[in-house]
Amino acid sequence: MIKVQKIVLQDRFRKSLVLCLLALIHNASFSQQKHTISGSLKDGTTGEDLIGARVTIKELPGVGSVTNTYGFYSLTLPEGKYTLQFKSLGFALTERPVDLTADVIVNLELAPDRKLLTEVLVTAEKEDENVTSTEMGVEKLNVKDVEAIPVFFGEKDILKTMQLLPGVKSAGEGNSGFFVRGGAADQNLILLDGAPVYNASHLLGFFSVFNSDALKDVKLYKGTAPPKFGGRLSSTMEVHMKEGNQKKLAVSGGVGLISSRLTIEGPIVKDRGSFIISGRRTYADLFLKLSKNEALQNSTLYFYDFNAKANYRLGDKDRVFLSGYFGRDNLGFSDQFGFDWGNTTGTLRWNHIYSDKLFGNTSLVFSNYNYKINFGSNGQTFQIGSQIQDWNFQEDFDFFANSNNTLNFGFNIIHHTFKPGEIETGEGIDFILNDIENRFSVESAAYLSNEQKIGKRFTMLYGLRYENFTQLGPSKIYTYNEDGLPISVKDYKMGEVVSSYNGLSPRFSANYLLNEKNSIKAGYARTYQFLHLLSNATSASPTDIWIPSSNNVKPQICDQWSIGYFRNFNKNMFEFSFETYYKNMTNAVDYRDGAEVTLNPQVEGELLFGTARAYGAEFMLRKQKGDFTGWISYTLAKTEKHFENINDGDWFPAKQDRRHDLAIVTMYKFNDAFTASISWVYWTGSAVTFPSGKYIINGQVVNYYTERNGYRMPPYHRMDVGLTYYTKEYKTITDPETGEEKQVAKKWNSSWNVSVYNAYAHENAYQITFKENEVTGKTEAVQLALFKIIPSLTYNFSF
Amino acid sequence: MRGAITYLTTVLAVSFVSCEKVIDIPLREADRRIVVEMEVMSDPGANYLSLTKTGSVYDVSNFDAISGASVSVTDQNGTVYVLNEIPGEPGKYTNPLLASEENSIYTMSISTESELITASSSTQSMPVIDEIFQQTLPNIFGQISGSEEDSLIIVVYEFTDPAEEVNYYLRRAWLNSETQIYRSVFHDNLWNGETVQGGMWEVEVVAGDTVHIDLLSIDFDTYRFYLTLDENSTSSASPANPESNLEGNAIGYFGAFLRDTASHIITE
Repeated sequence: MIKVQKIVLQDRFRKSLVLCLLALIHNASFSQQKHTISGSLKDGTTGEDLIGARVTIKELPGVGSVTNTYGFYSLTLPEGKYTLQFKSLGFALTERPVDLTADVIVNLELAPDRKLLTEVLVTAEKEDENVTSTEMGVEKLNVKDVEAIPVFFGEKDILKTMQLLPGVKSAGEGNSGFFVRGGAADQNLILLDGAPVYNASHLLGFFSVFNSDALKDVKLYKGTAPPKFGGRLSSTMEVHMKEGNQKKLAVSGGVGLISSRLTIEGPIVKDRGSFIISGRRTYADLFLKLSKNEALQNSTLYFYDFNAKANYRLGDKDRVFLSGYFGRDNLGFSDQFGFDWGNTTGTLRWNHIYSDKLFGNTSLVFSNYNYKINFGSNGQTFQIGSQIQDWNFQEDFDFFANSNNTLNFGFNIIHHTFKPGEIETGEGIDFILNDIENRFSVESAAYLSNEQKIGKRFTMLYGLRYENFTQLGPSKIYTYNEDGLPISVKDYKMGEVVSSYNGLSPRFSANYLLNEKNSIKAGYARTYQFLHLLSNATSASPTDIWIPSSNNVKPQICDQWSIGYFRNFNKNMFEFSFETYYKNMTNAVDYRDGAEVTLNPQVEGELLFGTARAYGAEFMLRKQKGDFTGWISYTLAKTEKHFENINDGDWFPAKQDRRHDLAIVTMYKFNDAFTASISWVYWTGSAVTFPSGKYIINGQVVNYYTERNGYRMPPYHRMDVGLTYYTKEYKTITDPETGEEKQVAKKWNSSWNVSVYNAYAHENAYQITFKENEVTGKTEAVQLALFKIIPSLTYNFSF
Repeated sequence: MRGAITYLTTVLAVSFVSCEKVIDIPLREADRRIVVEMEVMSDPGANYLSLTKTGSVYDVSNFDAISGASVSVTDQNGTVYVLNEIPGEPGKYTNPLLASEENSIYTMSISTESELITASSSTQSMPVIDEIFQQTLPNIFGQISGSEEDSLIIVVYEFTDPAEEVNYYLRRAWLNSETQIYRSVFHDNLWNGETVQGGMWEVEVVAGDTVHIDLLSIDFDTYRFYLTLDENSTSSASPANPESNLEGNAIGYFGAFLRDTASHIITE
């Protein structure tokens, strides 16, 4: 009996084996063998890479790929005949038939959408990206979007426009930096072509360091950033410079009341390489010459910046880029005192297409931020300088595994040098001051993430980032007691490890499409921050110093959870989004009372550590089509801190805590010649410490304080209006051959922009101090406001 | 210097189009606190206690003096010196014999309004002003004093810091024995053991003026008090009450100082 069964089983087994083999062979020959379509997409007029363009298959809805930062895409599909569709905002939908029997490369240049060019649009990359993308907690701006929006002094400024979006708060006039979801100004990583920019503002915050003429787009991650990014708790801002027109030489620029700019771009070799150089300079100090005060007449107040980039395609698979930025601010007082500061960045990159599915980028990045203060003249001089310098080697890969999975992985190593105080004295000064110790550290990271599509409705992005931060000698390292007094000092040799921290940051975000108009998203992210900015004043200033995590200062850690609902109406004419977040931060940094931050070799003893939390809800309603466009953004938020030695250990509001933040931005296109824009912002005041009493010491009246940050500055509000007049882009000429009239593009294009900043001249408080009135002897609250109404006129041209 | 940087950057930022105005900000009134300003000097009888109360922010700055307190200072040998109220100066107390010595510890006690306030302060070595002279230098910080001259006459004092100690100093200065020129508090972390020259930029002087300075060697607690006092303005990074070394329900400080004085008459 058993024997028979055995034979039967053996038989069956053999049969199944054969069937399996047959099936395999069958698959091998008829299967859905897959092939890869890959390539690069460019702008047909200029040759610029198209970032975030969509490649879809007409026959397979829901299947597609998106171009990466360099315009590269890859799509793996089973054999068959398909119609490829290429779409990017501002460009006409282009279709290409493909008979997929082998791997194929399809490179395309998209033609601009004639109709859309003349519309003023403020949208994300594609019309419904709001609903369909996994990205949540992301704000994107294309340079074309910001042209019509008036900002300070009529300059278009992509960074300032970003501050009109929900969750991003401006620090106010005279203050550099911005706050994202309750985070402090040093918690935003600003990358210009991959290089960190440590001080992103000119002239104490009135202008951003970026000349928008040289930029392509800006993307701000305020929620769950992909594992590729790390190092700052609140946000990562990726700023991409233009590559430069690959087709023809183009010049553009503008002349304004206090600043002028010029951009020259063109091909190095047509369609193979291009360059772009952009420069800008202000001359606000010309107005100081009108002052009656002689000291002010001899003063200087200007900044200049310079962006340069070149790229060249070495072959079908290789491309090299070199980009740099140099900017400098100069403040001088009556030629006895000078203060200058600025950033320098440089990036060398090499793209390589390893296979149809694997794209890699290798970068070498340099970044330096420094400031110098000069006193005196005629040999009796005294100079204090401070700087932070980075060298970064980075390797990033995009692996388009299949149409449902895109992997990103890579690593980077950054060497940081901190020079908090270098002192030089000229001959006339007798005393000697010692330099403050330099600090060195190495920050390294490796990451892996996958963006996965499950079915037609669900997309997930998940990944892990591993980071290490090690402080190295040579340095004099102190340890401190509870009161911040140094108790020991040790000399570390070159390369000796002072302290080392490891961190693992998981990132996760998911998008569920309820239908093609609605989606919900959720995300979680952990981030680490190893560098901390110490500031001696209420607001960020160029003399703030960066310090690394060390034996005394632990890395800051943030966990953020967020949820959002997104919906489009009326065929994507209206876009609505709602996001809510909760952030929990540990090892947050604050200062002891009366902390001495400048030129203090023992500054770490002045710091206190505690926790912080921030939560809020962000609303945005945008109209993106039609002659009338714009948006309303509103944020309701709270951010508070908890430190044992501050405010008696009770929770207190962070300085940047603002309950309500509202921005209404509108643009109206009257016709091809005139476009107007009005924007209005309102926010409730930041937290501030005011006295609850006063007393006398040594003949001086002293404020008596009870709680920390217990009061609010008055609400800030302001309206800006702008009107732009565009000269005609086309002229009518008679064709000499046919005698017909036709439209030809003009070589020289120009526009005039008139704008008024703070149109109803509201005096917004910059500072409130309590002073004694000389006449009555009573103390009064005196408010200093920086600006009333400021009109400006700019002439822009291009040829 | 730090103050100068902040001042100058703000001045330039607001050199035109800015405006100031008085606004109404309702404040929550705190309870009245006892304020102690107490110093013991190395000169006999130069010690004093000024005992006052805090006032309401918007009132005129007329602070109530506290009379009838029991005040005493004890030196490290146990000798008790009682400070008596000066007739005609309510709230001010002194002792004619008390003088601080080098390397000593002094404790004080004040009893008033059913509150007991105590504190202690220590001294190190006596500061010595080697020289005081004037120099004509380019007007770097002129804008602080209001001077628009190209060069200023600056009074400079020189002293040597003891290398074996961590020293803290308070420098006070008077112009023509009336106006106290803005004081300066500093410590030796950048120039320990060296001969230092300090220049006084705060005021414009002309020939014939007399500048009188006090160079005080103070202890760490008093140094922290004056340092945090400078950060008291609402525009500083962390406005707070100055750090006090007092025990008990009072604000202020008690300091035992060692003093050297010098003066100089300005010449052309």
